[in-house]
Amino acid sequence: MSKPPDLVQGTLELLLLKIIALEPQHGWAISQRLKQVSRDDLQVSDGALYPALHKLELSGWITAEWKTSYLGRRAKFYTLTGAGRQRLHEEVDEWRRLSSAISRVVRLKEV
Amino acid sequence: VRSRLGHALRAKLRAILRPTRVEEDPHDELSFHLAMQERSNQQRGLDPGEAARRARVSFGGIEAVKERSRDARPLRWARTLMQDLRYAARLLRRSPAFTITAVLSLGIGIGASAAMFSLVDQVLLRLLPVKAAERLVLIDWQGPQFAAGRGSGNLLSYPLCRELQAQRQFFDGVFCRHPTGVTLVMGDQPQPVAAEMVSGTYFPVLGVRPAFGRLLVPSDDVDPGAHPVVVLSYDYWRTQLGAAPDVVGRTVLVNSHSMTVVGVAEATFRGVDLGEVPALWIPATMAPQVMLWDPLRDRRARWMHVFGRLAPGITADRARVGLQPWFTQMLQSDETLDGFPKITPSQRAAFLASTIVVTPASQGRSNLRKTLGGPLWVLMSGTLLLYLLASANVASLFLARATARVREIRTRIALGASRGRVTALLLVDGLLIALGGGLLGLLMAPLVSTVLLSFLPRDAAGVDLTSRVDGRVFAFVLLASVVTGALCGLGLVWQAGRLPLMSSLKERSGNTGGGVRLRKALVMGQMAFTLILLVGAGLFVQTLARLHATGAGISTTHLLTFGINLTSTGHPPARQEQIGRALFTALRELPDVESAAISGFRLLDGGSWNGQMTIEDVTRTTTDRVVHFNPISPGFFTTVGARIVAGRDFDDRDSRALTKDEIRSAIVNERFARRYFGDRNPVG
Repeated sequence: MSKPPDLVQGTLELLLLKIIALEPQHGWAISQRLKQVSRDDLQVSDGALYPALHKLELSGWITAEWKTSYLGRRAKFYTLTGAGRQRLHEEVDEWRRLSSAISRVVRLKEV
Repeated sequence: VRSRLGHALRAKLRAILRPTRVEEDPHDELSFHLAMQERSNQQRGLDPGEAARRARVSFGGIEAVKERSRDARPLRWARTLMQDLRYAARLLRRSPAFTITAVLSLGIGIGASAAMFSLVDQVLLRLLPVKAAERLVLIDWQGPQFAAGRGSGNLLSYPLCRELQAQRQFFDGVFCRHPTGVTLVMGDQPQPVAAEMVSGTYFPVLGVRPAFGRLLVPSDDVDPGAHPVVVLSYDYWRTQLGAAPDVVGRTVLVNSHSMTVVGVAEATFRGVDLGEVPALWIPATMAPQVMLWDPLRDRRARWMHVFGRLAPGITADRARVGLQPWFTQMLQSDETLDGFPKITPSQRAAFLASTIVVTPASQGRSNLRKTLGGPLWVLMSGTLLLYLLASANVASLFLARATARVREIRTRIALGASRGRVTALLLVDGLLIALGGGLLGLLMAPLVSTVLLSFLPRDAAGVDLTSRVDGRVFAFVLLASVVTGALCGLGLVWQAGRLPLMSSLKERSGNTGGGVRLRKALVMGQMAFTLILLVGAGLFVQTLARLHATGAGISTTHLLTFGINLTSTGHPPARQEQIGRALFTALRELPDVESAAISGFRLLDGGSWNGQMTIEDVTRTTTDRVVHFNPISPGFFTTVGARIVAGRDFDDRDSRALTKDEIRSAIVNERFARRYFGDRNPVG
């Protein structure tokens, strides 16, 4: 799978898991939520979103179910699995470790 | 971790097993996304057309996204494979004549090869099912032996086995065994069964465990005649005793000698002789009671096979070199023993130059292997040749069909199918046929082996070869099919690759000359192979026919033979002689019998008593070859219809009991007379 160029490698997975962890969502809602929460700073092309979701599904971290959305159209809703929750924890920890390491480097002062 | 894995697995399985559902899924999902985006664009005031257009633009290519989704799924190759398989199956269904011919050819080839492989595997390849079989060696000697012996091949004496047990620097353990037939009474029916007389080290050195009860141990093998215990084989216990649970402690009669069952050996252990499963094991120290012959203290009585387990770090070769001084010394002391035959100086030199032989025996020892080894390899090669023939046949069929398919293949490539995809498609085609052939072969293999096994001599006690298809045969068949399939497919690919693209697209008629040379080569090879096989089979049949025409060298019409075994029913030698004489007299007096005779070994049975013979002629010489003896009664030659060239047949003068200094008479064959007496008359 090719990664979206505007995201740090591997973080799309983390973002998707986190958003789905909040509540079961369909793809379009996930993309809207992502734009809204990140105040459009994080641009995930809609094209990249679905392959990423399918990969998570195949890895067993999320499951999909067809349900009727509030507009009366059938949509595919993704739900986090137990395994997905564990994975999310791991990824969040990893992200914290990585970002704080990078912050420490960035905060270094020139002498 | 397990649940996560299980989840992933289920998801993957769903993806493979129900491709249609997953295939449609993203499309609906994507159109839902587009619809939502369109709606949201409209709410921001765009007109419907523009809203739809923008939605599409922001999404990117739908087909590309779908493709990426599919690619992201693992086991993509498995789905492609399923597709290819379905396509290949459809294609094969459309040309049933081709399919049936190909599958039949391959099936026959694979079936025959698998049957042969199963025999070769059982006879020649499999290791003994014992602890570290690769460290087992057979200890034997090479050179003139000048000793009394029983059985044939690789034999040493019981005391020698004992002495070898003391060679701890070379061996972790040494055991010996003597295969024999006994009459076993375990209820009311006496039954002839195969047995092994074994040293107490037999089971410990082989590392065999009891199924229950106990096995023989060194303390069962100390004083001659003092250990009336036996261990039964699992096979015998299960098939003949109906797996009776109370068998331990039962008293049985072995050649009329009463002995106690102490245990049953584990199921996988079936003796060290391939294909001959003993019913019971008896301590070697019971030989005088069981065999009515006491070789226990005679260092030069050859009757046992001696096996050793090499000590760590010792090779068979090092053991051989290391044991030689001990062995030579033994030969020298043997010479001074009472009863050592008179031999010429050159014979003496040869005797003292005898060497000890240590050969790897990881597969045990087998007369069957010795006698069948050569023919089996020849048959196996012949069968493989047949199989090659069948494969070549199918390959050429494939090539012929490829001519018809070249256009299809070219079209696929022109439409952008990758070379890998096309190759896979063709390979799958070949594999499908080959696996079909393999399946047919698997069904045929047991039938063919059954026929093959029926050619084996059946008299050997419990010859244990099966026609069953086991894992190894299955693996063989699978390998053979896959290789054939791949080769057929590759032939196609190679041929397709040689054609210029444009010409085949333009050409309307399917006549493409590319594979003709390959096909010609295949046909030529086939003709050559067939000729070789035909000539070979012809020669074989001719040999058989000639053997039939020659016969036994004696007239067998109106000749009836039968055998009785008095030793195994426990009759002492004196009684045996009485019975023999009584039987002989009774037979001769029967009105329907023209003549009758008794011999120690049955006619044309291969058995004999053999050894060197000392001739007291002008000088005293010992024969340089082993002489085969057969004790016979008067009238033997008349009865079998052999001529006596000089001298006379035995008569009643020869069969009375002798006083000490009288000389027995003997009859020798012409070959013997020529070799040892030259032109002189041997009679008298």
